[in-house]
Amino acid sequence: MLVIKRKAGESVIIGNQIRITVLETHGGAVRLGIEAPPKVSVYRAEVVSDVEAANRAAAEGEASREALTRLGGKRAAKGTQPAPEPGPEES
Amino acid sequence: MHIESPHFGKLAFDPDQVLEFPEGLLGFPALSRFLRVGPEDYEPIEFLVPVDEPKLRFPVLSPYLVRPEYDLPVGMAEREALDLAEDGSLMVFCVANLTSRVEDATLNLLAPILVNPDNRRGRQVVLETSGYSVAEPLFAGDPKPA
Repeated sequence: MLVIKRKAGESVIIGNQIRITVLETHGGAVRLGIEAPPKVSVYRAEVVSDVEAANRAAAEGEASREALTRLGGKRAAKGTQPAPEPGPEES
Repeated sequence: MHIESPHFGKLAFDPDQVLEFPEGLLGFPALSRFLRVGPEDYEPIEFLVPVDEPKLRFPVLSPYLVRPEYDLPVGMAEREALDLAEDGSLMVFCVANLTSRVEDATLNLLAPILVNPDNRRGRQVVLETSGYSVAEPLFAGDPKPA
C-alpha cells in the first residue's frame, strides 16, 4: 500500500483523472472530496462488502421451490398471467 | 456456442445474446459476460449465468414485481457507463437470495443490476443514499399464506 501524508486542502491524483482532496479532519474523521469521471463508481468500502457478500450468498442459494411458488402466485394475482381455463360446467 | 451449466444443462447461445458487464458484478470482477436464462418452471425468477464460470448462477427478479414503488434514480454516471440514450429503455434486475426457508428469502434492492438492452451492456450499481438494504425481505407485507 502506498502511504502519503496529506493535510487539509491537499490532494492526491490517481491516474490523471481522479483527484482526492482532504477537505477537513475532525475528531478522528476525515472528509474527502473525490473528483472522478462519471464512469468510475465511488462507494464506501463497507457498503460494497455487503453487496459482495449478498451476491455470493445469492449465487450459492438454492432457489427454493416454495419461494418460486409464492412469487408465481403473486404474479398471477397481478394479472400478468393468463387466467386459468374455466373448469367443466356443472349441470 | 454453448456452455454446460450444472443447474440448467446445455445452454446454447449466440454471441449477440451475451450481456457484457465490463466491471463484473460486485465481488466477481472477473465475470464480465453473462447469459440471461429464464427456465419456464422458475418464472418469474431468471438467472444470470457467467459464460466463463457456468457453475455459478445469480437468481434475479424485477424489483417492480414485489415493490411497485421501487425508486431507482439513474444518474449521469450510469447513463455514461451504459451508453444509454436520453430516451433509451433500461432493464432492471435485483439479485434474489432464495433461501430454503421461504420466509428468509431476500432481494437486494440496494444494488440493482442495470442493463441497456440496445447494447446489452450491464452494471451493478449501489444506491448508497436510498435507504434500501442488500437483504430486503422478499415477502414483506404479504398476507400470511392461508
